[in-house]
Parts: sequence; structure tokens; C-alpha cells
Amino acid sequence: MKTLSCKGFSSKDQLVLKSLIDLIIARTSDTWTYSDGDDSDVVIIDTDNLDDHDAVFRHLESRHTVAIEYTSDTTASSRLRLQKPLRAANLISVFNSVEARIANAEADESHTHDTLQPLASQEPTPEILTALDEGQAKYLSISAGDTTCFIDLPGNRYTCRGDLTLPAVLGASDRTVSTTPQVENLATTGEWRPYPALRWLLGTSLSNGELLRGINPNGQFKLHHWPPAEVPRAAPYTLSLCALLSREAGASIEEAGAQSGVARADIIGFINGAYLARAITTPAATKPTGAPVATEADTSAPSKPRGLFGKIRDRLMRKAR
Amino acid sequence: MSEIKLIITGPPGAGKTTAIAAISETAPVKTDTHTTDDLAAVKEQTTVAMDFGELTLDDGQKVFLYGTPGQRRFEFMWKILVEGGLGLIILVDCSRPDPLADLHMYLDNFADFIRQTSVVVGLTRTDHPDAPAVAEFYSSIESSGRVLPILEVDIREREDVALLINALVSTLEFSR
Repeated sequence: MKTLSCKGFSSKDQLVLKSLIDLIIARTSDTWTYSDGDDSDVVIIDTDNLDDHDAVFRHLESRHTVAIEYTSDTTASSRLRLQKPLRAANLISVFNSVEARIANAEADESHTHDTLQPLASQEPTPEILTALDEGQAKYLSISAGDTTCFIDLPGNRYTCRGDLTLPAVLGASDRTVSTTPQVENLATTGEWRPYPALRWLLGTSLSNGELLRGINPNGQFKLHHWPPAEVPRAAPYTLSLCALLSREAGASIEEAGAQSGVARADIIGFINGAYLARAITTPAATKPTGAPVATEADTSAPSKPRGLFGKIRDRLMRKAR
Repeated sequence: MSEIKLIITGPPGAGKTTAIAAISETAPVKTDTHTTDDLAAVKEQTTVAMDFGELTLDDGQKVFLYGTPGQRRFEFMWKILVEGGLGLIILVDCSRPDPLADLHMYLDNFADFIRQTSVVVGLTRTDHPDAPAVAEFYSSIESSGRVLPILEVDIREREDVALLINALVSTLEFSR
């Protein structure tokens, strides 16, 4: 059994948290109960409401208590995070990650800090993708509804537990994303399935409009090969981006947006996917390390290009007469 | 209205006739005849002049799809069929002995047309045990300096034929 408490929560959020714990108890590996005491296994801290939250984190970490930040902030963080507002799926994902963390700490305390930092985090996900790509994290866990998919990025393979397919989980609005070092979590899933389009789809689905760490947003991007057919099948707009970025001189994000009419966030997701798939040359990074590069917030798509090519595309979208 | 013409080529048996039948909104016109040469061992009929299909756009304009004969002895037809064409789709049958050589043969023969227009490569029968990986196709054309779209497709599926045409349209619109 694991105990949980909170700090800095409004009475309303505290009530929601307690209710959600009762609701989701059947969907976590361990049994979770809310505790008003100071010695709980896990403390969730509302960092928006608590001024000196850094001191609270330091204090909890010195006691080897798992601390989770609860915030509306969407910038990258190395801490375990629950994004506001509280959602059952997010809570389940974090609880499962914490269980893995505690189990691992008990198994090998001396390695806990190195192997599990950062163990899990809620969105934004570009940081998670970077961690996976750089080998700092082992597996990616994506949950939506009653389905959890585990992704082995170096192996270009995945496995799912539940009724939804991986593309459905990736496209779900209530999905949660975290990393996990535990192979044991895979025991109840089916066999690993190879998926050549995996890296592309992770980029297009999980980027949230932010380039991966180390990619300079300013400059020309040049594609070396097109993605597997699954990618344009799922997202036809990627064909325009493929064509633009295949030019001899490549294209900048701005050029790609202006000429294709594809939303900036989608262009960034595509570039991240191509980067993960080692299919693109990116401008040299101005800052080799640090947080994922935030880009302009404007994600609206310019008007759709028309003319002959647009008419042919429209015709192809329709079924045979 | 001007004629909009897309050309589909590739070795015998790659699926050119099947592709046109899958996407054409009218019954495709075929010029198939019984195979009489070495190809007879793997294919009963083969195209000797062309296959033809069409799509109608919303404004009534027609897109004509022409499939070339695959056998090299009908090479003279290739030049005739590409006349005034908008772009080229090359289908490569990955179950044949040397699909990479097949691709290069068609790229070389249609080089002038490709230079003026655009090209997309569709790989068929990629589940064959000896099929080269997609990466091998990209490596083999790397020296040309061009990044061609190379997509694995099931040419019997309308959506996959549409995907190839869509990719061709995208390269025509944005890559040139």
C-alpha cells in the first residue's frame, strides 16, 4: 500500500484528488490511500500556490519521499509532474511510474537516483522524446482510456495492453506520457511489434509544438528520405512537408508554413519525427543543451493552397464514384 | 481545358494495370495480350501498348492515367506515352531478382521526362524474403543528389494508389 498527501492544494482540488484516488484504485498496481500525516510515501505539491515550493521539494527529497509537482505550467521540468486540471488518466500514469520508482529504489537503492532521473513526467513531451533518443530513459509509456502502450525506441518496436491501437492512443486527447525503466511492466502485454514508422509518429504526435532539445529553429531543414507510408496515410499534410524539405536547399519552418499551409505545430512535429528517424539535416544548434526550444505560439494554419494540385488532392480524398 | 496526364511505369508484373484499375473511376482500357516470351512463366498476360484510366475533378476537368507496357522491347511506347505528361510513378516489384537495377533502368530511361516534371517510386511486394530494404533504394540513388519519394504500397488498394498520386502532386507543387 502507498500513502499520498498534498501541499498547497485548494480545498476543491484536495477534494477532487481524494475522489480520484477512490475512483482509480482498481487501475493501479498498488493500493493508494490518502493520508493527512507527514510521513506519506508521496507528496503532491501545488507549485502554483506554494511560494517556497523549492524548499519543500528539497526537504522531501532529503527524506527520500517522492515529490510530484502539480501545476498549470507547461514548460519542461525534470520533476514528476501532474498537469492541471487533475485528470484520472494522468494520476494513474504518475502512480504507476511512482510504483516503478519505489520498487526500483528498494531493489537497488544505490542506483536509484542515476537510473530514474527523470523517471516520469507529464507533458510537454519533447523533453521525454529527447531523453529517450539520448538513451537517458528506457521505455516510453503512453496511456489513454484503458490502454497502455510501451515503446522501445532503440528497437523501433512497441506493445500495447488494452483495446486501443497505438495510433489511437497517440491521438487521444486524454493520453498521458511517461518514461519507465521497468521491463516488468510489459509482462501482461502482447509480443513486441516492429514498427518502422514509430519515430516519425512519435514526433508528429507528441511534440506539442516544441522542437526537440538541440534543434535550432532558425535555418534550413533538409530531408534525406521520406517517411514510411503509414505517416502520410495518417497525416496527409506530411506529403507537402516532405516535398518542401526534399528541395536541394531544404526549407525553413517559416517557408514550409507559408508555402504548404500546414500549421507551425505540425511542421515542428514532423521535423522532430524526421530528426528521431535520422532522416533530416537540421541547422546547427545555437545552444547544444537546455530546455526544448519554444517556438512561436501561433499554430493556426494559413489558408489551404488551391489550384490544380489542390483539386487533384480533393478528388483523391473522395472515394471512387 | 488542357489534358492532365500521369504516367505509371515499371517492370512487367509490378502492378501498373492493377493500380489503374484500383483508382480509375471508369473501367480501365487495357491492351493486354497473352505472354509469349520468358515472362509467361510468371505472368499470363502483359500490356503491349498501354493501360488507361481517368479521374474527374470537381470542375469537370479530367486526369488521365496512362500505364506503360513494362517490357523493354516496348520501349518505343514509353516516349510516346510521356509526351505532355505531368509526372511519373515508377512501380518496382521487390520480388524480382534485382529491384534496384530495375529502378535505375526506369530512372535512366525516363531521365529527360523526370528532369522536366517529377517522379514518385512505389515499392510493391515488399514482403518478399529477398526484398531490399527501403534504405537500400535511398542509398542507391543518393549519388543523384535528388531525394525521391519512395513508398511501400499495396497497389491493389485504392488508398495506396491515391497516396502515390498525392505524393507526386506534392513534389510537383513544392519540390521544383
